[in-house]
Amino acid sequence: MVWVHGDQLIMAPFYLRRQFAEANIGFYFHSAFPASAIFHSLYRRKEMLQSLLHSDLIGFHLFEFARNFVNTCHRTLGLQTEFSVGGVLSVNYHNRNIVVHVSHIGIDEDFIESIMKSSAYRKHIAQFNAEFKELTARANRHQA
Amino acid sequence: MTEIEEKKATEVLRAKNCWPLFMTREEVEPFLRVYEGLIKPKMHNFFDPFDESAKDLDHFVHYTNLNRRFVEKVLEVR
Repeated sequence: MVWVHGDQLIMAPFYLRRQFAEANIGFYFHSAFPASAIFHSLYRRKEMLQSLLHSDLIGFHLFEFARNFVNTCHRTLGLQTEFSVGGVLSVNYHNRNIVVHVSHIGIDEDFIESIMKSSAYRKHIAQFNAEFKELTARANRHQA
Repeated sequence: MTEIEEKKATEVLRAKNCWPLFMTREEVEPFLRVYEGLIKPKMHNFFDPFDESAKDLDHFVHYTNLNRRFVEKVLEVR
């Protein structure tokens, strides 16, 4: 199973499928997916959409984003959507059913805070800072 | 990063079962022009400035090339 995260890697499922045909590929959008009219103004939209459809499962935070994706598939590539047993939403592309899944990702703040207060964490941070004192670590997350 | 720093970072990360991918400035800059200038403003950050000049085919090739490098890293792990 290969999970691809984020729209920096939209073309990855295409290359992955081409070189690793039997891979189970999941793609998760950590950001919004625009309405089809906006996506339609995107340069290289067909290549990007076709690459995404080499995945087996495409995940979104919210149903609105999944609905935008399904509409975009229909309006850009003329693809049909179906609900299979168990209420699974999928897009049919070249006789493959790509599952469209909605699962909101968040963090357990209490759990993270309890870890940050632990002595093991402080020891790890001190060790990390000593080892990489010349480097700056940056983390970023887009709001969905 | 120097070659020695890359090697050291690789050792540290491999111990945590992570496989780093090191990119050059020449790879990252045109990639970011496409991502920050074309994809992101259309996909979600609607108020970000749109960079019409990044439509140049060469820049999209850099975007896809970097995607391909990530895939090569996945295949290496496999």
